[in-house]
Amino acid sequence: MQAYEALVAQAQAAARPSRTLIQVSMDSGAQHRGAQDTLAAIRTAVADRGIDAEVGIVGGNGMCWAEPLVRLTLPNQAPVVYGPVTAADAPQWLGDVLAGNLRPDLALGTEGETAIGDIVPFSQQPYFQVQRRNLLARMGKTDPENVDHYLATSGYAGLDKALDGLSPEDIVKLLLDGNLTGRGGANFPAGRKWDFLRTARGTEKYLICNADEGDPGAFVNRILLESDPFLVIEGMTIGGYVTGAPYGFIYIRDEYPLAVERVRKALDQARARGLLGKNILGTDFSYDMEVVRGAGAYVCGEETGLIASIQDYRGMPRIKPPFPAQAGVFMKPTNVNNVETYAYVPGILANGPEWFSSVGLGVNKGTKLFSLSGRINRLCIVEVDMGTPIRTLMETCGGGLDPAHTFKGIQQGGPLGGVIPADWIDTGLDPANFNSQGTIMGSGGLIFLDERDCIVDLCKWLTHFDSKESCGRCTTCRIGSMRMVDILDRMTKGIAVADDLAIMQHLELVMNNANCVHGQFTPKPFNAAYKWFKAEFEAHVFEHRCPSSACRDLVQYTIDPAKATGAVAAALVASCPVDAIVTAADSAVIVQDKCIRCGLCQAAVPDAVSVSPRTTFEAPVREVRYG
Amino acid sequence: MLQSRIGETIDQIVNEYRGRRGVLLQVFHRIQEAFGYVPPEAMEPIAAAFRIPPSTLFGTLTFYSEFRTEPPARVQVGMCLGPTCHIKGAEVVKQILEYRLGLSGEHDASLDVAIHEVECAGHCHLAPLVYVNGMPEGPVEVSAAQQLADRILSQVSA
Repeated sequence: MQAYEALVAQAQAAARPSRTLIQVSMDSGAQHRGAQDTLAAIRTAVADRGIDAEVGIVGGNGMCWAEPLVRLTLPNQAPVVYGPVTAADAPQWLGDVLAGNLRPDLALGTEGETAIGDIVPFSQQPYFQVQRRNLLARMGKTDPENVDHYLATSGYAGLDKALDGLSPEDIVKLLLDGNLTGRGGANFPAGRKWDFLRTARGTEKYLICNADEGDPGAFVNRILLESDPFLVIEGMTIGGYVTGAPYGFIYIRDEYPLAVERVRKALDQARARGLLGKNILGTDFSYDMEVVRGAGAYVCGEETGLIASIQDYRGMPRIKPPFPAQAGVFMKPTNVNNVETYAYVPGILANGPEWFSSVGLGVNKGTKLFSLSGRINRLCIVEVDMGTPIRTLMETCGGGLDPAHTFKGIQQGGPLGGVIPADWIDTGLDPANFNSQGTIMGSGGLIFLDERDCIVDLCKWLTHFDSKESCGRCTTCRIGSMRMVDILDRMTKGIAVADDLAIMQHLELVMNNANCVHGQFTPKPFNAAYKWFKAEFEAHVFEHRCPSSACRDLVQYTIDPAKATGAVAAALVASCPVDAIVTAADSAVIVQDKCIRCGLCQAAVPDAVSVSPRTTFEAPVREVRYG
Repeated sequence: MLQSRIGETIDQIVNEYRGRRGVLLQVFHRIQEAFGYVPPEAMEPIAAAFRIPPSTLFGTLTFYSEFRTEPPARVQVGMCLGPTCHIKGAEVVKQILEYRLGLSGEHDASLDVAIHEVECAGHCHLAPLVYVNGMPEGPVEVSAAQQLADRILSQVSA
């Protein structure tokens, strides 16, 4: 369309390839590592030395471990990415690279196809070779606060194609042909969902993008919204065209303030260019949307809870049906999709359904974003083909685990997900592989664990999270999750009884009666963990012992009185952060009631302190019979 | 004097959103940004402007963990208790901070310093992560917790 081509031409004209370009990656991860300081240092150096260069920002590229990243584009040379470049390093680095020393020691790689000296192209590095960056194509290359960067990199091509002759039915068919399924974890075909809304009665309809990514340890939506917000907006605009919804909401969790800010800026810019609002691209299609900032409620990630939250109520999920496609926001037909799902739509339209459906090693198609955290060496966000083995992600992308420790398992799918053992390492990351084993893959958070991490304690932590975030409507969920926490807490304190394991399994049956998945899935982490780490639970219950030595209530520290006199005693007393070590009869003693078992005394004087399994417990261990 | 200023600001914010649906969270956020918490005085004007019963309003306000109904402490310590922080010892760090800052036991209600939990936002390279008045500090290893507590205390007394 003419209007679109004019915008692209305008965007391309704004780029000045003949000038040196220095861009600091600016997502919230980089900000946490001091990217603002790096940017300020570079700006100062450029101004002070009178360098002819443009300084700007780009989004993060997923290499969170190397933040802050700096992308340097010299005239007639492919961009080179450096990291970490701290504010202290920046002036020296700038002087070097402009003087012709490209600092290969700090370089991560070049975006070009050929090596520049010792700087290897990203396309030849295993980290990128195992990835397929469909959604992350622009990550770390474009300024997320500049619509021109998006337009100049084939942004809005999908919307242009849609408005230039494709009917809503055609697009639904494209999505169904491509077999795009919901990326939030449920894997429902997006095309069908959109068709429900398209054929729903009335003209007041709504689109919702669920960016309430509450799973602790999952942050894949964050990078999409912070580094390429226009992609999601374009996807939703196409959604508006297909479904006939004139208005959309993008519900972003409160913990992502930068994402809120970036999406709001992006909406303003899109409106200014006629890509949002009335008569988009000069056609008679109109669509607008707004950002709703959440306020810290995990359960609002459930679609009916989210809808309640938009409507000014407590974010409590309700019974379905009616489904949102019949009665959603303000009781009007509504479609709710995940960020990744919307983000995939522009590409499918622009490149055809095969672009999506030809990718994937298993049952499900396309690529999937994963965030790697926990004991992994390199914290990162990667995009790989659906079905890629866990080993590839762990070893090639995440740089493996600390070699001094052994890989134990992965916590996946958030607090309603599960725990999988180390022997799943060659399993493909495809929801089908997880569902067949009674667990879920979830929305992309993978938390790697090693032998130092106690599964029972992790289970308690996950269940406690679920309990805290229960909306409270269903007694089964509200009280059931509290009872689960109680029992798991007893296990980690060595005062559980044999029947507790049986009660945990009974509780699963009860909690199935909760109205929404929050309550129904709360027992999932325990189930998965008990299935694959049964011995560990039994050690806690029957032997009052934690094989990982992570449960602090199951160990006790003692000081050898003979070795803890004089200066050693003083050192021990000083080492205790909670004043639990005192001197009595010339030697140091631990006051067990005050000791939090942090291990700092042992670290201070390893010879004099020993750890042993705890032998006395708060409450007598007794047999309780139920039923 | 102070009271009327609070009222004025609240009216200003409420008027900006008057007549729109689905904006209550936004209104609460704006009020909290202005005062650091949502004061009880805000309830009546909001209820009137949006025709929401005060009981519903209060229900919404207290449902979300990010909204405060009381003034925040001068120094706020946010502890990330995400899974990576958890396995790397955030709970021990929290216990040490609580003890050193005098927050364990009966002296919980302090206007000078308070510890609250922060949800995981994926900054796990800083685990265990602690925010002091919004500024990230990390990784705060168990061995570094005591020094951090001392630094927080010097901020409190400053």
